[in-house]
Amino acid sequence: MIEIIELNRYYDNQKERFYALKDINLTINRGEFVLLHGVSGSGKTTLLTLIAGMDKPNSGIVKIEGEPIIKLPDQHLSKFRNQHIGIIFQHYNLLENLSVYDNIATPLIPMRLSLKEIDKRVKESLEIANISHKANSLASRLSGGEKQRTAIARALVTQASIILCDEPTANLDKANREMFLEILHKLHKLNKTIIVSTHDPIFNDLDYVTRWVSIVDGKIV
Amino acid sequence: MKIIKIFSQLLLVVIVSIIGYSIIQKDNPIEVVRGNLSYRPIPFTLEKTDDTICKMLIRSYYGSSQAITKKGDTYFFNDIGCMMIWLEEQPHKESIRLWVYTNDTNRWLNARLAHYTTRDKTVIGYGFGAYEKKNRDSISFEQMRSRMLKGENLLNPKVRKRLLENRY
Amino acid sequence: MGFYCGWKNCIMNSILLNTNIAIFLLAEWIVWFILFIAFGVSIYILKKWDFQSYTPTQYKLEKYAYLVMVILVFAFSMKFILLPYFVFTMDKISDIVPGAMCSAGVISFNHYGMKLFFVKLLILLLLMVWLMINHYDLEAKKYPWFKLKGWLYLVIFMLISVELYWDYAFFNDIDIHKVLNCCSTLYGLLEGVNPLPFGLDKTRLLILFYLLYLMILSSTFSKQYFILSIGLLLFTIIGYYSVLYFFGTYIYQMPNHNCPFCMLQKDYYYIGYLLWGSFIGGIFLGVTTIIANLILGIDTQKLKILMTLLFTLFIVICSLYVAIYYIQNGVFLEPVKVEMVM
Repeated sequence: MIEIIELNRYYDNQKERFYALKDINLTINRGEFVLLHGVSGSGKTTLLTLIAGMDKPNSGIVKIEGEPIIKLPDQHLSKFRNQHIGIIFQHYNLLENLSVYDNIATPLIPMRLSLKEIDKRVKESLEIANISHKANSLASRLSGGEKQRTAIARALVTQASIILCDEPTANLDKANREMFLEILHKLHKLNKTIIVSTHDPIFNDLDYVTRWVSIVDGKIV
Repeated sequence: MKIIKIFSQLLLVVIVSIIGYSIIQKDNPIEVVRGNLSYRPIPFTLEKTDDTICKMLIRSYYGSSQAITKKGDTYFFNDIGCMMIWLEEQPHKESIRLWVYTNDTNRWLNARLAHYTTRDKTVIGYGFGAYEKKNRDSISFEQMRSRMLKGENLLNPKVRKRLLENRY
Repeated sequence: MGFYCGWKNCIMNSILLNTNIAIFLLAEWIVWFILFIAFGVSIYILKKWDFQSYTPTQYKLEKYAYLVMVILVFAFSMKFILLPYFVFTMDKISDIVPGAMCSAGVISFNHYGMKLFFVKLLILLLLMVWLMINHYDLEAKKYPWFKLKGWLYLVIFMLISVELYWDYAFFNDIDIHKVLNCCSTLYGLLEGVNPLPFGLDKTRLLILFYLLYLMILSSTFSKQYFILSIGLLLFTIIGYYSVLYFFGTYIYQMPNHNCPFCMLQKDYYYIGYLLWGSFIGGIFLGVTTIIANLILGIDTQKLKILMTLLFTLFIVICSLYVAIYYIQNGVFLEPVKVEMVM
């Protein structure tokens, strides 16, 4: 479960204080599929970043499974994020010089698993993301859709219970977007908690979205 | 683990025993005796007492001396010249009782009342021997002290020859 | 001889322009300066710290705390390098100071020397304790020892400030026109006097040396920290005297050469750094282990293993020199008695 209580994130410049997020209160239960909806600059990405622990708020709490992740020392936070959260970025953030297989295996390095276990998990993730045929290809040689599916596989490989997606379909064509939605649906059936930040209308008609959260000017409306 | 615990405790007992036994047996030479408020010379043990200045064991009463401060701290010297060096560094010199072992009467005498020769064979070699009876060549305590501090003693090669030829 | 520094008739000793001394003092100043910044921030943090709070102030303090920790880890690492460099510097200036053959003469030149050296050792010990507390504090997630290490840092900073003044005062007071004592005067045997502690003779000293090593090992791994404390205290004394009056003579291959510093020189392949480093490092790790276990309640396997390795290295180096000498010569060294000729 994700609990967000009185969360604020602001930036002070010389003249005024700009609120990226203001007084956010939100509870997301396990297995929910939540869409964060809002225009560019509304605060969706900031909220995802704070949930992932990649930034610190100015005030308020973010708790995941009862753990106040914002308060964790860096080494614990990194370990927590590695084990519980998978992230799919808008621009994929793959390591271009590594193969698809190696990109997916990278998050498993800090977990100190055996080579056999690593291989098993990577192959499972490749299967779910429908990218097994490209396992040995260099990431730099992939199309946009293939890169996105590699990013999905990487987010799944640690068996994280929470998947965060930041504008996942922004750089995809229609066919790849539909393929992406199919994979998300598969993940939802695996009882993953999924939070998608988007302003793509393709998500409007999905029947498995459990909640819509609209963010306007840093506030939930 | 239990065996290791017992082993540690056993080692501790052995170590403490060795140290305890050594402390009891400890026998270092004496350098100073405190609390001598009688201001009388102490009959110290030869080969068990150190000269305060040169840190050598005093092996003979011949040529030795003692200095007792107002607090009763008693220092020992195997050469009268060493005592003069030590005395020079002390404050309140007049309050310090000085004793010398005389070579003629073999007893401890107030150093300020003794007479001194300048060509005696002494342990360090300064050459000042203490005597109870005055003789033709002997000098007073103050003269001896002055010569010692000016370096006019047998250890000074410039002075030594003239001293030995009785021309000083 | 000095040079006029242009402020209220202050004269500074020209020895401060010696390259090694200048580098050393500059490094000490830089480290002190960054620690001073951390000191100011630490006081602010300690006054307002409340980990249970989620206010903007607390989040700001947590960011500052992270910054302070990074500064301290860097600065403290530098201090571990600066101590051997201090000894190296003194060894170098012993070449220009008459009478001193090694650091021993230089360090005993004035009343600052030995107390400065002991303050440096004390600071290193406290730094090691701080680093240990910091490590476990971060591992514990909720910073349970945050205030303890904060206050400890304030104490360390005070000591480092005193050390900085004494560093300057010590070097500034060295007069290259005055003859210093060499180590034979400082550490040489006084006639008839047994220099060994507790009235020990060499045989008993060596027996204790090896027994204490065994006791430290066995008490560490059987978690008997009281016995370990006694062992460390005694080993500090016995280990020091064993090197000074026995093992050191085999390093110099001279039975009456008793000096803790000469073995730091090139002539002896700088073995002193490894020998004293492993000895002091082992002692400090032992103290840190005891504090971790008795005060923090943490069983520190890594510290114990490291301590064991350092002490073993120390024992091996000492024993090897004796063994090699015996193998080469077929006899052990015998002390030479010096007699006065009247």
